[in-house]
Amino acid sequence: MLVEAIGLTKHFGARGAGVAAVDNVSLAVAEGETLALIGESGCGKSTLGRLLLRLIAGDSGRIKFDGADITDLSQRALRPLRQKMQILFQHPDSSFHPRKTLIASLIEPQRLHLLAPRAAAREKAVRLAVELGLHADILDRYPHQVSGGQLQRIALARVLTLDPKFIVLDEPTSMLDVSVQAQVVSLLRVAQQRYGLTYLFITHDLDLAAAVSDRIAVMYRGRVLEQGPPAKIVDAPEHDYTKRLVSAFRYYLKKD
Amino acid sequence: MSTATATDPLLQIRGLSVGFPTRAGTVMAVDDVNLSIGKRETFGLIGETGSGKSVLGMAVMRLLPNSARIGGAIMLEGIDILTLDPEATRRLRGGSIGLVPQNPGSSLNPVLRVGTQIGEAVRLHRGVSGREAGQVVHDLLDRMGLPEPEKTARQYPFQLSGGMRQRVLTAIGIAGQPALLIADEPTKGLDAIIRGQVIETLHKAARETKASMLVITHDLQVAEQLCDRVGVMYAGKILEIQTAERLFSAPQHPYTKALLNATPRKGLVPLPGTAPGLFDRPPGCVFAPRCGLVEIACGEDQAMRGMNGGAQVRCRLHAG
Amino acid sequence: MKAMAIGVLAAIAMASLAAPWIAPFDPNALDIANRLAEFGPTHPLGTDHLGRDELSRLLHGGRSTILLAVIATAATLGVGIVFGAVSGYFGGKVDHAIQSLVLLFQGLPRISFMLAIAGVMGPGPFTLFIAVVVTSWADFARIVRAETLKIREEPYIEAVRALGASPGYVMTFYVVPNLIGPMVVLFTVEIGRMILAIAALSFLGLGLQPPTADWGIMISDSRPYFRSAPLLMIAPGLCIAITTFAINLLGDSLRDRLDTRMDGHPVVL
Repeated sequence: MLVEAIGLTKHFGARGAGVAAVDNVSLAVAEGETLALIGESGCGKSTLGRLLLRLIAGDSGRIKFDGADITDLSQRALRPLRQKMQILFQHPDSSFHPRKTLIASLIEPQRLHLLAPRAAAREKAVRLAVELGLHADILDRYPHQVSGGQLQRIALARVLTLDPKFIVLDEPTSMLDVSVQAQVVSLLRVAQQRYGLTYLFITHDLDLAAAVSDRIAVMYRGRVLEQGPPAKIVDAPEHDYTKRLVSAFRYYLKKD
Repeated sequence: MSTATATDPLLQIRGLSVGFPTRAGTVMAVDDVNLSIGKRETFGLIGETGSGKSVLGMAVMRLLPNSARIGGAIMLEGIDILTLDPEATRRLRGGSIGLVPQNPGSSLNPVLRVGTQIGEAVRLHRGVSGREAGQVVHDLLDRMGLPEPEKTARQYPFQLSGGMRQRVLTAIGIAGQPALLIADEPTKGLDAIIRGQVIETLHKAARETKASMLVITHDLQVAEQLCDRVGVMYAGKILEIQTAERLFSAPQHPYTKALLNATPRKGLVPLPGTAPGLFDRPPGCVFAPRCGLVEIACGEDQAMRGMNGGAQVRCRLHAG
Repeated sequence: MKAMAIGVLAAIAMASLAAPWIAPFDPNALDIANRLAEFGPTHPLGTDHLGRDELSRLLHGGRSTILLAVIATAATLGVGIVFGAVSGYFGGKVDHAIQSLVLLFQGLPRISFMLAIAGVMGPGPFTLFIAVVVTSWADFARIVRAETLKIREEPYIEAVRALGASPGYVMTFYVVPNLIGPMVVLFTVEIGRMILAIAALSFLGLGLQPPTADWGIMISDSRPYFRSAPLLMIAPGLCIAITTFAINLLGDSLRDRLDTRMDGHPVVL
């Protein structure tokens, strides 16, 4: 297992008084697989993704990454590890410093980790952007000057400059149009193959989860209710909530 | 409604174009749109960001800014609403045309009871007041399927669930007994389980009031389930109009086909390229630069053509 | 409006800077024989109770006030940014400690506190400077903290943290640059208030001291002669009002331009 969570719990609000956003969740993602994490808004799926990357602190439970327990590492000790575990966000248009050119944002991560001198960092960033179907000349623009679909590709290129192993995809296409979503998903697939990536694909769309994942984990009110291959979740759901979710996606209006 | 042309039209849009003047010249957000919506028909307008569907909706609501250059005609019950004066336009909104806004979370005033908010619309557009208006409010809530209308009317928006708020908004939309109900992105940002309720609520609203409905949505499932006929917009133009059933089972225009194939259920097949922006609309067929079936003839503007079975398609492949 | 404000401010700044060269007289040159003169060819705006040329004093009178206001505002803003940004970005105990301090300072009775400072340190420009900084930094810190909290929640901050940036890096390259816009607006809005405050303190005898040519002092000096020579009070009063008004206009238009919401207004007096 590349990433493993054991009994992860996170409360928000005043200690004890707040509801558990993530409630005793155990989950494992194998190297090279795509695990889809599905649930409705507010179910804790994004919180779980951030907990796994230790972007926020959990209340209890353990997190393992690449064989090592990273639960108690300090933020300073985590920083080198950040290179290997990354996240792609839901809102591409606010994932970039608004007053930095896109190329500057693309170079920044490599400079943060002292991976390459500026010229080499730039070369790698441009190569990745072009690989993802972008024209090199749009990289000199500012974030507000390019479309959401292009920004999400640039965000993916930015993450890939670090050669990560694991990427949390936090609803990466929910703000995009259907046709752009298909483009971004196909690029995510290509990148996964080419660079041997492992994905946690967070989404609220069951159809999307079924189409992109090797396994699906269904989350509801902070808990993971069930996990399994897409065919099993969609055709033979066990929990009532999963059944409701599946029927919502197979919804048919009875007209009279 | 089984044929793809509205037999007894309530709304007829003829040659509608909406342009916005910019420093670089006038950009056309909506270009040569013709469509009609029959009495009691639910018409869906689908399209992606920048396709012009929202601008078209705003044109019908007369909500476009004064700078917009509008051409063509929008006939509602025989009157061209583009020629109405401001006072008549004000009466039109909420009167003959009801609107169900998107985002049930923020479209209601948080400090007023929902009964008061529906009552406002009732008093404004039905000319009843007091006890009688209260009765109408309860009746509306009841018809929208809210279990305890009297109790709900006394509640504030934050006390209601997302699905209930959506029903309250729909009640406001039909308060003026509109002939045409417009639903603007009714499912945007809603979870799948609530989405079904919204579809049912809107369907019920249209049926109860015998109103026609225009549903503007990016949500293909809503269009398929709720609508009788669907128009597909792309780069300011309508490329295809068909019955919902046939549009989703046998799409005709290459864009419609590509759009459906891009959905997760059909395998997420990506379309090449990007949709043209307002400033770089291609000459001729607007979809030609991304179309796999492009030929020299596609460089000329294509007209909307009627096909056997009532579909209308704007594509060279369906000429003659 | 904005062009007018900039024009007026430019004129005032030029006049103040060039005062030593364009003023017809030494602002402190006494001419008792010619005291309280009407305006005329030699003294375009007349003379004051000590026979000093009113126009020359007006030209010089903006120098110290405006300079002091700029320095004091910059210092106040500096202190406020450091405390506010640290407080907002790091949160937790640091935030709690700084916010307690902010509340303490905001609770100080301003005028009495200024009087106390003047009492201990003696009146003078430095006292004035200390007095306004000590009594206004807390308001700035609060506004900067609110801005920082807003910026901290921006997804691009989380994005760069996730990419492996350290808190110091995020602070220097992400938080502070994004504070600059709102701070420019705050600076212009505040400087007008600062001019008023300095003039008021000088009027009370706590700030700049006679015989310095200063608009506040000029108003104070002219009080006994208001009936016979009203211009002596009206002219410096108008100077203060026009300057403040122009600065506020500029601040307002900058605020509209940068579309920054202000949560609270710092008040000096």
